[in-house]
Parts: sequence; structure tokens; C-alpha cells
Amino acid sequence: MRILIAEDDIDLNEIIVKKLRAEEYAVDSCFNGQDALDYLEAVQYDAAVLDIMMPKLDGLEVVQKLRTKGNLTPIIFLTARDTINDKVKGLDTGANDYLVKPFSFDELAARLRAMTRVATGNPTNIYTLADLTLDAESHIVKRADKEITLTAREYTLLEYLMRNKNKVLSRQKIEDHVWNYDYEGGTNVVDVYITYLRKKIDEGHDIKFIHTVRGIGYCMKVEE
Amino acid sequence: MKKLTIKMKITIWFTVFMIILSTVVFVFIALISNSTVSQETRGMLISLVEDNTREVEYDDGEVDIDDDFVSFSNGVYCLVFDSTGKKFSGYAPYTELESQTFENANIRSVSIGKETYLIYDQLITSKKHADLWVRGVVLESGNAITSSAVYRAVLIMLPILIILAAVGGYMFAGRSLHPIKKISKTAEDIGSSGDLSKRIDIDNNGDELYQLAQTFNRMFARLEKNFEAERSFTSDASHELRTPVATILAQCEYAFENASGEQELYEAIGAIQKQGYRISHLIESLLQFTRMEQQTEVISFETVELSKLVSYVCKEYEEIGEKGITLTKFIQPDIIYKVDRTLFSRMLENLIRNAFRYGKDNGTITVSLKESDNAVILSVADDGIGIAPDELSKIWNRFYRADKSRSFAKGTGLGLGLAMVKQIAELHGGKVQAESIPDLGSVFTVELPAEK
Repeated sequence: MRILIAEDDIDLNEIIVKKLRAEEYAVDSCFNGQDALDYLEAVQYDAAVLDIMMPKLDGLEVVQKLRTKGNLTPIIFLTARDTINDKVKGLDTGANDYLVKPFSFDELAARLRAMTRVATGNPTNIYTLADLTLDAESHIVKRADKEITLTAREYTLLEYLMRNKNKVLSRQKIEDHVWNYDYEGGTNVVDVYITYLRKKIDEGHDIKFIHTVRGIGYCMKVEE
Repeated sequence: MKKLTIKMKITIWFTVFMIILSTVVFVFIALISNSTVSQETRGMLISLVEDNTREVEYDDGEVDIDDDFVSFSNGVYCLVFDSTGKKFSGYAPYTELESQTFENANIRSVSIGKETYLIYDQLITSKKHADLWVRGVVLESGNAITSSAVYRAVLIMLPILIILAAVGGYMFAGRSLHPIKKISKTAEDIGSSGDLSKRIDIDNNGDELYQLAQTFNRMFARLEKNFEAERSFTSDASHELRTPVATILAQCEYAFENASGEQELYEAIGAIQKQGYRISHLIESLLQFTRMEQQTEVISFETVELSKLVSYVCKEYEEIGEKGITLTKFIQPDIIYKVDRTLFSRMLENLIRNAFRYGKDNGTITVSLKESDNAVILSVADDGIGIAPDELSKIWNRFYRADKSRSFAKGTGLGLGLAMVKQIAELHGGKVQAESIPDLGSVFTVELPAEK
């Protein structure tokens, strides 16, 4: 999952990014509302965590502009403003969720999972494809009940593919959702990691899940 | 005694006063007019008798009464007797009045029943014949006002008038005092709902109640502003505190769950400590600021050599040379002014520190102090990054930082610096101003009024 963090306090911004990356998210961060808007319009994020009190544009303005343009990126406000009025205003402006500082990281992570669950239409945190299961909470991946060990990047890639199962995804799209801006390599990296995944997931099984769609990209589905 | 409304009180006092006043006036007028009338009556009595005396004489042994003799005029009866009591002319209302003994040139009064008559005799001496007496008789109480119809009419009218005045007064008092109801209602509304935005709304007729209402309205406006400032202050302050706390907790969670190895734990602890200092610094500044605002911090004005004070503060910063910035001074010497040393220094320090913070490397800061006819002007100019025009009006707000995401050599600024500068300037009766061009620099000016 690729997440955007917009928080003007450097220290807090840093630790949130650090923690989310430790949870195997691809994370981008910025420090003001204008940048947040630019990032959100440039890339399709799986979710964004926005502070409200930020310089240039405040969080409410960012969400308002985003929603007016039809952008449906799931957004959670993370803010010190705690009154009922603030919460109502934040949610009615267009955010999907509202979390007050100081917050528990576990809660933030759970809310992110909840938002993305809804977005993908998955009823629980466990994504399945035939005998392949991926638990978004514990990050445990199993095929035929046998646990598979993945690196952080491999996990992030697999989670993205599973959440968009049966959809054909271009290399660009995959890269956008699995790697953040810091990565500067070409789209080749996607092919490389697909190979790694195939080795760990499909090898040794009759039914393959990861398919190449010539000229377009990849698709995760049960082979027919 | 049951509590009376002001309306009732006014009306009662007013009515009582009216009664007393009219009674006194009435009595006074009655007495005066009585005595005046009395004087007049006596005057007429005497003058008629004297006039008539000239018309009576002996002619050939006979009493001759001229045609010009007036027997009755203005209520005065005039008679002619000789010393034996024989009457020659005139008549009096009562025989008793005719038979009174004669006294020359002396007014005496005779009561007959309820009436009082005045008698005045004038003697006409004769050598050959019996003396003659001219007598004038007049009713003393007859002309008195007390028996006149006018008097009686007024006596009846007066109570009626007083009653009418009382009723009218009551109504008018009511009308004038009506705004009081509005005032007390509004005050009660504010008291029970806590809604300080309400104002007393009464028509402007310039009177005392209108003034009172306006005074109250001004008070409410001030209270509202203070509460609003207080509310936004505590909300700003708590916001400022939440972020470092959130960072501390997030670092702790990271340390517990994700830190791999001692190095990462060490880093997490370091980050937590940094936030701890930040919170502590914030609390100190907030307390200082609040104390200054509420004036619980004692402000002591003394006459100081301002030029020396400014030089002294500058000197401390000259030597720091942060970012290679040079500090130059243009201080007019011998300027004397009454300030609170501590606060003034703090104000100047805040301005200088800001200049350093937002200054460019190897730039210049200029501090100048000068005195004109009507002001003492302190200014701090820099050639730093400047302030955007749309932010220029906001910089004086609490917790406002132009670029919050920068971290500075001595820890992040809190945004209270300029708010304090403004507060201190205003405590000294002065005002502040900022001018800036982004990327070129800024000038902050504090203008203090000249001492009289």
C-alpha cells in the first residue's frame, strides 16, 4: 500500500513515516497542504494521513479541493483539534476517518486497514485467493496452510496484487502503489520482484496465481 | 414594608412634593393677598373718610353735606355724626357699628357675629357748634380672598390637578424607565446562557439609560473578546502540546515494536528527550506569556538610559555571529525613557533572535534607536527570507510560525516571540509594525510615544 503523510511538525512526520515503513507500507511525506494536494493529484495513493493545521493550505481545504475534483482517495485526518464540531466538520468536508492526537499507532494502522478494506471490498483483513491467504494485520502469508516468508517489498507487492485480484495492473500502476518517490529505478524493478514472488508463491504448485498479460502488465487470479 | 418599584417611589415622592409645594404656595399666596387686601382695605377706608371729611361743614349753623360726599364706595360705608351721636348722613350694615364710641384717626375692629368690621373716625372741630364726626366702616373679611369664589374653585381644582399630575408622572416615569427592563433582561440572558455576543438594544435618545446600556455593551464586547482570546489561546496551547506528545508516544511504540537493536532504541530515546525539552520550553514560555498578559508578573517602570540598554542587548548578540550574520547598530545616544527593563530587553531580544532565525547566511541585521519629537523608535531590520504579504498580518498572532517545518539550530521556535513583542510594546503604550519583501528582508518597528 502506498500512503501519503502530510504533517507539518518534522519530528512527528518522521516518526510516523518510520513506523509505517516498518509496517511495510510505501510512504511519501510532505509538510504543507499545497504539497499534499500536489502529491495526491499526481499519484493514486491507497490512503492519506493528513494533519489539519498546516501551512499554505490546511487539511480541510486539501480534502475539499480533492473531493470537488472527484478524487476518492481514502483520507484520515490526524489532528489536535478534538471537539465534536471539529470532527463533524472534518468528516463532512470529505474525510473518511478522524483521529485525534496523541494517538496510538495500533489504532492508526487499524483504521488504515479498515479504510482500504472498504475500498477494495474485502470483508475482513484476510485476503484470499484459492488456497493463498494473506493477513493484512499480521502480515502472515500462507499457501496451502504453509507459511511463506517474504521480504518487506515482496509483501507489499503481494498485498497490492491480492487486494486487486482479478484486475489487470500495469507495471506503472504497480510501481506507483508499491514503491514511493524515493525510488528512482525504472519499471524493470516490477518485473524483478514479480519473479521473486512467483518463485515463492507459485513454484511447486500446479495452479499459478501470478499471470503476465502481454503488453499490459500482470494479473493475480486463479488460472483457468 | 413592601418593596416599591422606582416608578412608584418617584411618583409618590413627586406627588408628595407637589402637594407640599402647592399647599405652601397656596397658603403663602393666601396670606400675602390677605394682608395686601387688608392693607388696601384700610387704605381705602382712611382715604374715603378723609376725602369725605372735606365735603362736610357747617353752613349757617346747619350741617352741610356736599353732593360729592360718597356714602358707599369700595365696600366702605361713610357716615356723618355730630358729637351727640346724631346721624346726619349715611348708613352702616349694623346699628352696632353706628353706635360705637368715636375715636379720632384710629382704625379699630369690631366683631359682629362671624364678621369683622373696621371703623375709622375723623373729627371735624367747630368753634361755634358741636363737633362733627365722619365715620368710615368697612368689612375687613369681606374682601379677603378666602371667601371669594375663585379661591374656592382653586381649592377644588388643586387636588384634582395633583391627582392628574401623579397619574401622568407615573406613566411618564414608566416610559422613561422602560429601557431598564430591557437592560436587565439582556444581562440575565447573558448570565444564564453565557452567550456574550448578545447586546442591549434600546433606542438612542441620548439619555442616561442609553448611556448605561452602551457602557454595558462595551463591557460585554470586551469580555467577549477576552474570553474568545482565552479560549483560542488554550486551544492553541493544547494543540501545540499534543503534537510533541503524539511524537513521544509514537516513538515509544516504535521502540517497543519495531526497533531492531540498541542503536534504534537509543535513537528513539533521543527523539523522546528532544520532545520533552520542547514541551518544557513551551510550558515556560506559555506561563511567561500568560503572566505578562494577565499582568500578574510585576511590571516596574523605571527611567533608564535606553540607548545604553539597547547597546547592551545588541552586544550579547553581536558576539554570537550565528550563520555568519553581522549585527550593526545605529543607536542615537542619550535617549532616556521610562520602561520595564526586563520586558523591554525581552522584546528586543525576541526581535533580534527572529532576525537571526530567518536571516540568510552572512547577512546583516541592523538595530536602530532614534528619538523624534513625538516618538522613540526602535527598529530591527534584516536581509533574510522575508515574509509573504498575505502572512504579514498574521505574524503577530500567538503560535504563528511562518515556516513551521524548518528546524532551527536551537530547537524549533514556538511562535510566541512576536506576540510577546506586540504585548510588551502595547504595555509601554506603543505600537508595532512590520514591513517585508519576500527574499529581500524585513523591518520590525516599535514606536513608543514621547514622554510628556
